[in-house]
Amino acid sequence: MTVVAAMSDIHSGFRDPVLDSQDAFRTVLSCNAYPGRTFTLSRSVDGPSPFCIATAALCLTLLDFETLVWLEDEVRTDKIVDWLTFHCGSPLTKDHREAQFAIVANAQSIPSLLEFRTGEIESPELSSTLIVQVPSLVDGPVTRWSGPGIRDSICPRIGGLSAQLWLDREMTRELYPRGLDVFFTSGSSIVGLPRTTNVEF
Amino acid sequence: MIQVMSSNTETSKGYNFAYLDEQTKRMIRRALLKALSIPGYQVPFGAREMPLPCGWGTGGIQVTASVIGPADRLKVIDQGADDTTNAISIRRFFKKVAQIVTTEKVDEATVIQTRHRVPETALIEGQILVYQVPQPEPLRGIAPRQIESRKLHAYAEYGAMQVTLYEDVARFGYIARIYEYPVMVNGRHLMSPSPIPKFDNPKMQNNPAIQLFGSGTEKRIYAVPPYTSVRSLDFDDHPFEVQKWKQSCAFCGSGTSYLDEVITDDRGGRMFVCSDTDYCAKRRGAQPGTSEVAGSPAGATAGSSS
Repeated sequence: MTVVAAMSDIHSGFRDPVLDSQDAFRTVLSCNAYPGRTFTLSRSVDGPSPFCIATAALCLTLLDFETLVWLEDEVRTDKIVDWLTFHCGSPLTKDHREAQFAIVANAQSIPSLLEFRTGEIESPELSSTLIVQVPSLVDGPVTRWSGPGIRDSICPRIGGLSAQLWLDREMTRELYPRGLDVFFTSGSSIVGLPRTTNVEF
Repeated sequence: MIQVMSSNTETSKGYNFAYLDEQTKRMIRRALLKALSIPGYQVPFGAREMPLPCGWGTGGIQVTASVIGPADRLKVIDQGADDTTNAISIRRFFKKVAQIVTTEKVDEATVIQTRHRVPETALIEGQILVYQVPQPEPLRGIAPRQIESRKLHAYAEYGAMQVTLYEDVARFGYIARIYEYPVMVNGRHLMSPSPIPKFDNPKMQNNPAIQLFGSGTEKRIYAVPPYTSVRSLDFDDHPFEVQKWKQSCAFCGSGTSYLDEVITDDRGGRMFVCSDTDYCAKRRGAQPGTSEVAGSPAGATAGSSS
């Protein structure tokens, strides 16, 4: 009797799970502390397509069995589900309204931001974090951001977003301290958009 | 090449890099991100048992352990000093479990863990200041039950805090609180700045650095992002003021830093010296002329007793 070794085709994760995730976290921390600025990861990771390096690194850095994840249609592929299940062990949900982390590759097909979890008034931290992969962080309509973490103002140009997304986000700002926190990713770069940021579009 | 960068070296055998396991770090990291997103709001987290007792900076250590990496240079201060027991043992801890390069200079440090002081030297963008917090709840004295204080935060019901400050004004003629002076962050959340002297409160406002707060005992993490408004509570007719000293530092002659009173003998002799040892040493190095002052603490004593 011969045993045929079955090969799974799960993509690899971080090469150094400890120091790569530390490095990625520091980048993410800077993104949240200095909204609107583009920070680029110094280490690479080969995530499953269509995840870019930054999206894959964010998943490996922040997700584990404690985080309920929702995947938008474009990223709900077997490859990605297998990869997330193996490396992060995250439970997945089909209902974006209950997700702690939402991962979106096609920003045009994102549900209304008003439907995501914005937390409880006494526990505003129980809100969704959105990871939105976009075609570009530098080639899009000009927006003017201000608020905590921003000296005066900053004008990011994030591409691939609908005007409705900005309108919906504006609505969620009225719920503060409840709200949504977003990371835009492209290539190996990330821009953070915490709920405190005021965006003129 | 990967092996060279790997975290398992001889001295850390038996522990993960920076002591905490990766799942704990992820949990703390997620809490830190939410804390930055809601400035001044206390995010609950699952604080772990650390190899030193609660009250010795376990919250700050867990925050530091979750952010620190091999590229960092760590400075630890206790009441402004790098050479006190708590600071030395925490520096030694991170040298041991993460082979972190440590420094006593603010300018060289990327991560500064502090107990009860903000350095005199201005911080810059990208630096991280980690505060050790014994009691994160500014309303604890007013609403001891958390079920109540959480509601007060939720609805920004902070009138009672203002009343306690007013009681000081009514009794003493001024606001008598000199440390752990409550601040309003981003115009929304009342926050305890940890037991730093109120002298340091203005430094938190619009600071370019990232300020993170960790309380291990009370299992809370909170944060002040850079360039964020941090207002010390006060009244129009009793504006917030910081401490001032008639004396200057006996060592470096600084008239603008936070001074500690030091007893020099048992006949009432005392002198005032900078609480921030790095700042004081830097000024002494830069100003050779001040060595005269340093050599005559008796003169400083006479000045303070007159």
